Amino acid sequence: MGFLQPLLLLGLLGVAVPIAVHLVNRKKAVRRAFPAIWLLAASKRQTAPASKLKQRLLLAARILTFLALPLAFAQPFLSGEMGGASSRVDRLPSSVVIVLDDSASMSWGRDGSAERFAAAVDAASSSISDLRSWDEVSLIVASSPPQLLTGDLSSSHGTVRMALEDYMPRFGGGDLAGALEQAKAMHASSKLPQHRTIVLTDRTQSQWAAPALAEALRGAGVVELPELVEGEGSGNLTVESLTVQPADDGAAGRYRFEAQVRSSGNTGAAEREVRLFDGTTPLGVSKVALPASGRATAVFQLKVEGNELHDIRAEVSEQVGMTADNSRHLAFQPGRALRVLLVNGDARSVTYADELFFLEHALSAGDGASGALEAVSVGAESLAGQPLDGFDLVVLANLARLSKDDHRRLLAFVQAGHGLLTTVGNNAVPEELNAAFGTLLPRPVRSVKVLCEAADPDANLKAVRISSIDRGHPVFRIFAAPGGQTISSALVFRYLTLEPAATEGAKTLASFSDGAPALVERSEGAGRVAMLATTVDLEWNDLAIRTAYLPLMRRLASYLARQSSERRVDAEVGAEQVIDAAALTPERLTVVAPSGGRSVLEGPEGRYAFRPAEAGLYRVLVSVAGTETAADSLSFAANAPAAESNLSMATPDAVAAMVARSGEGVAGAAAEGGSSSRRDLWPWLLFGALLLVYAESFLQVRRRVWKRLGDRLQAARS
Amino acid sequence: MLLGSDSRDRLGSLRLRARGVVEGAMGGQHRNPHRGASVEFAEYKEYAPGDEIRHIDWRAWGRVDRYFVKQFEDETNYRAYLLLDTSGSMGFSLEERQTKLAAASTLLAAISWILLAQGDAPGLLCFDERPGNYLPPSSKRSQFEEICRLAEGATATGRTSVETALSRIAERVQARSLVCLFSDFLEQGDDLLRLAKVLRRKGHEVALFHLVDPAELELPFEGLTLFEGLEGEDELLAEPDDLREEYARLFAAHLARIEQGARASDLEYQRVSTDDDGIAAVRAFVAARQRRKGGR
Repeated sequence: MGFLQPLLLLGLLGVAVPIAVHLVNRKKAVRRAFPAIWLLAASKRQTAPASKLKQRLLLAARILTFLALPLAFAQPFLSGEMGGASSRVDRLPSSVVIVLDDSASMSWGRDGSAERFAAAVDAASSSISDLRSWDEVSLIVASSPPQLLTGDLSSSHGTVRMALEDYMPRFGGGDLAGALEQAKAMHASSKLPQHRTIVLTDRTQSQWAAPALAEALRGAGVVELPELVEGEGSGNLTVESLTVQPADDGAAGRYRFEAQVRSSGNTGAAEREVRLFDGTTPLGVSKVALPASGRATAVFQLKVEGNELHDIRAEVSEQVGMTADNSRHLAFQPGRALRVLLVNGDARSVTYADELFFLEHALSAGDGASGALEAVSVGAESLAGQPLDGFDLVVLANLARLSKDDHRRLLAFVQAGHGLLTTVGNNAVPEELNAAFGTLLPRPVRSVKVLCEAADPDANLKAVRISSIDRGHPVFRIFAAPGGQTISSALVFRYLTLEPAATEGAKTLASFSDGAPALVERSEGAGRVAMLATTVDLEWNDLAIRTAYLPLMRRLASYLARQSSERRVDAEVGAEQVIDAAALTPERLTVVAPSGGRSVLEGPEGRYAFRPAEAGLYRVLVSVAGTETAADSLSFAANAPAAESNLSMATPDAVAAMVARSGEGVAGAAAEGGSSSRRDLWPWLLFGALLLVYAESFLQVRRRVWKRLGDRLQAARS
Repeated sequence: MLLGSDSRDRLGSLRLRARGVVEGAMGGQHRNPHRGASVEFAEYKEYAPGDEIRHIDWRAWGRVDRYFVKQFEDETNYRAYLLLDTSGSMGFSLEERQTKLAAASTLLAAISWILLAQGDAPGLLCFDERPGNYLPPSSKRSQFEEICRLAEGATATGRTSVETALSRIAERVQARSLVCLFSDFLEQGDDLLRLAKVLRRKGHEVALFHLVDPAELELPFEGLTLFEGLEGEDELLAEPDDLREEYARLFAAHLARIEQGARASDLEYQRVSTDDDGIAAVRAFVAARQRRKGGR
């Protein structure tokens, strides 16, 4: 015998309650003076045996009630082999929900065949065949999210069988608990007296160890777990990761791809071939010596031309194992570093005193992987001869003047969809700035406001800070996270005030603590212009030596260049992926699946939730101003969930314990070649407790009540 | 005052017609064989409290320095000894009802009034396990007030010993008298009936007034109860519901035993419930006495 809630056995201590009450009641007897005591004593002598028996029966009933209730709440059960016991319940009309696991681990098989899934389908088909005509059935696939294949419970068994045969498994992430919750909801809607849930899963740890599973099993009716996998020890090869970086020789266009392969289970040490593909085009083959239960890395040094998006795939061949994790996709786009032209209006021979010293370092930080920025610096006098083609963003840092020709070129540059950032400094003369820059400024400037000098000992009190930011804006969204308040730590000693008159389309993204605008933007044509009302070096503020400087400048650059500032994150099949396209401000976003299916997404604030259903490269298209263009920076690859590659199975004991904790009736968990059953004792205990309560109430009823009742009955008869 | 004027008016129509021979000359309707006030001297009797002062023989006092009362051969007052049980059990009552002692006192006063009204001499003896206050029989007009005062002053305490009271009365009663015993008769033995029978054989009229509280009949309590005796008995813890049936049977048997014993010994017996009208009980008692007298 076992208990599902053994802790509740502590309630047995409550048996002291009726005993204590019995003893206390004796002490709390009402005292009464009465003359004919000797007659009472004589009566008691006559009635004592019956009275004592009644008192003892009462005490026994109360003690047994207090024993039976905690025992019932602890949910005791007897385990044993399943025999004819279940046949009794089987005769009852049943609602049957088949939960089919199609997670990646179910793709395990020989020579690429998904034997486990096929076994599950066979078992489901067999279960459907065993149903009686009055039974109702439904089929749920335990994908992530769970998918109801056949609608509500139905006695049309043929429909369910067809849905089962037509289903193409996803072999992605699984959500067995979610599927069981759906099954419970379906059972709850059924009016049939018996509920059965047939769970067809390989019981891998990734699914079975989920904390929510025990709760999901509770109330799922009679849970049956047919055996799909014979024994432990399934071997498996997995391509764990596929990464890319510039090639060792540093040659332009050459990249180094690394595919890490892992061996698990009973797969022995062997030399394995790892192949690399670009789409369906083979790129190369690498042989690695893979130890048993170990890892090896296959390296490919390749030249990749152009800057298109590539679907790079590494694949390891395997005779027996899980197929879904034998290959891994990588969304790769060479040469897509953001190009920024930095125009220096206040060049200095002392490097750290140079206007662009800090900005160059901030924009150049990183490892050159996707999302990198490539900054090119020129002097103000060189701007006239500098072609703007190939740049995404121009930064005019502390320029004193701008020729009309440069103004014309820059305006065309912005209106074509690029970005322009103007920063100011000691060269800035408001009237000249307004005259020279004109529409390149988001708002006209007014004057220079000097609060103090950097060396002023009271600078901390006199200076202002960037205190107000638009936390929902793509540039500042990161500062809403914990630690984001560091942007307010920077002191600003001097800044340029702007004309208070509203300018159409201009938007203040950040303000100083005295309310003056710090960062203003405005759309100009298809591009954006922005102005930082202070310097990007330490001349007018100390922002450049604050931790907020680097993310602020990089995000501002990405935003103005209409590029996503998010690093490309590869997704898992079945898991929700959030696509952040806020920087692109698309009207619509479309995701094209590897198989060609298109999904048009809608999302708040440029963030789109998407759940990939298959492995491969997902291309993202954005519609801006009615034109759909590829947003390669948002495209991503989806692969089988890493957790699914762990094929170690839950032990029979763990399975039995989990099913037992569900608190439901017979669990058809097939273990060690036989079917085990569990007989719950708590309903009988509860029933017994109920009878005891009745008995206690019966014994408590006064004799005169019985007498009156008898008299009335007699009167009624006469 | 125990008896209101209304009750006295109602009782005024009653006449206790004593049975048997009443010797004496006072205008009683029965002949009284005992000594009393008369013109023909019969004998001397040593003075006892309650005797008429005017009958003291002062000459005898001069000779022997002791008080003697002269008694005469004539019709005398019919003497009635009213015995009031003041033991602890008589103090029992439930739910605002009067105690058995109060009910007994009412009866006692009523009978005193009747006796005085027809010129008889009622006396009172209060008793528990020992004889208590005693008022000798007298037909003085103030006797009624004296009886009432003593009865009112009685408190229910101590154990019962009817035997002691009857023994004391048996010693005092010389002429033929009426002995009225007011008690709940919760003593277990048969001494009561035995002594009453002795008095009856000596020619005295004996009347038993059995006071019963309805709660003693029904045992109307609920829940576990610790019963305490009123006369020092041991406590008893019991569930009344368990005892009720058997107790009722035993109590009924006890009542029947007393009543049958009284009837068998030719004693008057009246059972009076504390929620009864006491006057009605007296009327029934007198009626019963008249019937018995008529039968002689």
